[in-house]
Amino acid sequence: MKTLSPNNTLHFLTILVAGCSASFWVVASSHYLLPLLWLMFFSVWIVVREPREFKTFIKRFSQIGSVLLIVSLFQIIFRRQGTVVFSYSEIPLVYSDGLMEAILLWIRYMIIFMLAYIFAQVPIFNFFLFLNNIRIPIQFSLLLLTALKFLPFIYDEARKGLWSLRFRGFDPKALSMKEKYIALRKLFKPLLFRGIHYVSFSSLALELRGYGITERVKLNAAYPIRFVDYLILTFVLILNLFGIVMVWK
Amino acid sequence: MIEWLHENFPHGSNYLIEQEDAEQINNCMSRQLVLPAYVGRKHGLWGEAAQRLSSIGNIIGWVPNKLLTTFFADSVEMEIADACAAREGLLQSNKYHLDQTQEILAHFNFLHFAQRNPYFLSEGETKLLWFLTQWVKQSEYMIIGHLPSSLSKKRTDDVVNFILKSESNFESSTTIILGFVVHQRDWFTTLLKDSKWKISQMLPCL
Repeated sequence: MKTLSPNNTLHFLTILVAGCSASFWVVASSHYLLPLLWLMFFSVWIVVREPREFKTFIKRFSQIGSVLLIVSLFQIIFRRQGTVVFSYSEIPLVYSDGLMEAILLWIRYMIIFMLAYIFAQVPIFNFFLFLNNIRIPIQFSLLLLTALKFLPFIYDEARKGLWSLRFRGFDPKALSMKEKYIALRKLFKPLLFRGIHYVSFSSLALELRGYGITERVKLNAAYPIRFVDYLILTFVLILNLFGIVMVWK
Repeated sequence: MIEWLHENFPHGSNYLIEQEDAEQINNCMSRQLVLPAYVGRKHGLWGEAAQRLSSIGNIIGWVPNKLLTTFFADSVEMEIADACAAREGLLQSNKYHLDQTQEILAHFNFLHFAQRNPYFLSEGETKLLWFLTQWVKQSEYMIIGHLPSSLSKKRTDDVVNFILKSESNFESSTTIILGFVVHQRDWFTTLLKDSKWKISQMLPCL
């Protein structure tokens, strides 16, 4: 039986457990400590897994972070509970509850983005093996994976459409609202038909390979949990226990 | 890029450019027009390079060997009519554009595939349709990487005759740049009989 080459991707189970734990604690926690710990954990995870991508990570982190900061600032403006943290000419501007909510919201969004990035690194085939190992019927797992594969295809087709529109001499940003609607309709139609075409051919290709005859397939590949996965799972367990202790106190 | 074209390919003549392989000019054009809109720093779907494309698209028409583009309409006729409308800055074609399209298709001896869906055309037919959508733009420059690629001898001759006929009727003020490969010269001999056509040596990348 062929063992999948580990590359630099972790086992899907590790990512799933870490993702579920982080999602639970950042939503349930009303203090900074736990969400901050999870944020640091994922930052270190991304940087350590791909040190060469460190510069890109910092750039993306600051870009998304600054956009989310604006969203979080609304919490400061509208949340007017707790003690006054900052006032100007005796007009209270920032309240403690608003500030805390803003920071927590920012951390939550950042963790969602990081999780999405980490999940996106998992090869589709590993995901398929994982679903197969936990006895998910092949009809469902293939549907899910085809949908995942479908997204880049749609993005690519949309890009082609936009390129064609621009090369015809139209600048989408300079169009009026009515023209934007017409352009959108023009872009959408080929996208829809190419999508249907892609799906029907994918389905045909799978059927011709014999998928769908049985509920589950026997794949000649092992997907073991490695040492590094156990290490991370242990760390996730420690963080979870720490969270429980914090709540208990 | 546009300045470079103006400098090296002054209007008034049409040019045949020697290239090592059928994709050389197309690769250069892709580097200039397609890749910047797809990848890289300050690039992407809404990046600076992608936004410049619309102004370049008004000046240059380009026919690659393999199409990376999309057709928007349900029929060949409507696609060309839409391209005619785009020349006037309109997103939707009207009766006038349809009449113009009929005329072009008749001129090109192509009326029989007017109602076909562009999505289901063969590679050669797709290339011809793209050629026509670029032709009706009446841009300053029309760059064709390698005309015979994906086209039969008859179709290549049809296009060459179409270009010659349009020139003799003074319909076109477009400067045409055609790429050719050294070992395949027979298809453009008729073009060279016209004094407007010049052969240029292999050029550095556009």
